[in-house]
Amino acid sequence: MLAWDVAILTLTHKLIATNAPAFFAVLFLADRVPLVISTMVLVALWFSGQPDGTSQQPARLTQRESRQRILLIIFSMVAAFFLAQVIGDLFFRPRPLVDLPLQVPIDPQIWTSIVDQLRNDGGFPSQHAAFWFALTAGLFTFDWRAGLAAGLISLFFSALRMGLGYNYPSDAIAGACLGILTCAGIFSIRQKLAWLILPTFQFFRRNPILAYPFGLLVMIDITQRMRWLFGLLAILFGGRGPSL
Amino acid sequence: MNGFESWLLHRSNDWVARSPASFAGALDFSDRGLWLLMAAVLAGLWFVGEPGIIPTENGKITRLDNRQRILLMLGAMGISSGLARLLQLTVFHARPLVDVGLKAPIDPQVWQTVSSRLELQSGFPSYQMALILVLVTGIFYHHAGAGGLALLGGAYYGLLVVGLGFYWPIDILAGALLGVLITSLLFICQPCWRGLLRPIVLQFEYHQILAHLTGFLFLFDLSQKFATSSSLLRILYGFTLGG
Repeated sequence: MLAWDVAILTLTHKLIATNAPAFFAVLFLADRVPLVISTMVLVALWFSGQPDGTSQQPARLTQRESRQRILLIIFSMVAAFFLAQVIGDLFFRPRPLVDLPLQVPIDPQIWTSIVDQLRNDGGFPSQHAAFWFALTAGLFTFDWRAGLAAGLISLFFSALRMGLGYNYPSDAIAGACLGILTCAGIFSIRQKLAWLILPTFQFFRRNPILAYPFGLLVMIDITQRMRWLFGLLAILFGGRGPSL
Repeated sequence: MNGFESWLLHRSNDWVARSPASFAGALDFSDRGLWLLMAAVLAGLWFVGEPGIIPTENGKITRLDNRQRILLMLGAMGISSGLARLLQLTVFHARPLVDVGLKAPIDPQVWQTVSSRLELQSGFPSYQMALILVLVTGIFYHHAGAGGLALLGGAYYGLLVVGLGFYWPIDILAGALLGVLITSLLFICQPCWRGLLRPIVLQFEYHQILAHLTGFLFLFDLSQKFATSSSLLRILYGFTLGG
């Protein structure tokens, strides 16, 4: 355990563990809200961009370019989450709430059930930070202000998870680096991924009645930490699904 | 309970309870799966129709008109499920799992949790069936073949929940009739609602990002049985009371 890791964690924990309603609110916020926000950003970007063939604002991305970037970003986010899980399985590091005696202002039974759920799950690197910072890096390709806003929001939610004891600050930093590098890597080989991106884009263009329900299910799966995707991969290749 | 209802109930139960896995799957689908499917179907239906304001040939529909119909379907879903809930409070019809000995090959504690929730709730009419038949009716108006397939899907769901002991066949039929009636009435009166529906639909052309975001959030919440909005309301309620 690094001293600065514990110091920052203890500070963030003290900030959120002031009373039970605040703690429950943070539990709720740190659970699915950031994932829902991520999907909202993706949906909003999907419908941004000027329609193809128009030339109203040359500096603005066309819908075609915008949507292809979004597909790359989704791919980056999923890849970063998956890589974080693989690394976590290889380099197990217990989560702070397992190791440290955190004072929580809620029913001890509820807290114990949360701790037990995560006892055998490593916190390094933070899968959620990897996921959010992959999105952040992708948003920088649209607009640096959007990227900056996403980075700040990702930092906020990472801090909430630190305060809950889900991750050490170093877990979050490692996850963030992983997310950014994964996104940068995917964007650097985007030409090689044309076989995946272009047909998907055309699917939405030519068969919206089928494509959008599929897209909705993908977005919903993202909000539940890709449980269906990982479940499918576990059935096909063995392994386990994502943790809290 | 007549002979046919009893026969259908037991045959459906035999089918659903043929194995613990099939029973658990039926339980899961009847709870979450239906709402997910409804959200996905609505997402697909939203893109039915031709772009533009005038159809290119007779019998075709523009996306603008189609989307107005979908808003009417959402209204029908709200009205029919509201009416169904009201009727459930007025007409008490105990669910089969209370009165009838049915097979339930799962952990008795889990089944006890499920059945105790439903014991005091009337099953007449089935509000889920009302919701399904709103969708089926809406699909039927677009394409009879697709509507027929959707009806088969609805019948499958009906058999599933009868087999689980959640509803009698008469509850399913009543819910279905309610859904069809409300939707048909609203569709017939569509011209009356044009002044309200058209501006809403046009927002999806003029303010694509905001409108589609709102639509996505609605469908997401629908797929979760409105759990997210309920949780948010509970948290706000807790904060405003200072508890």
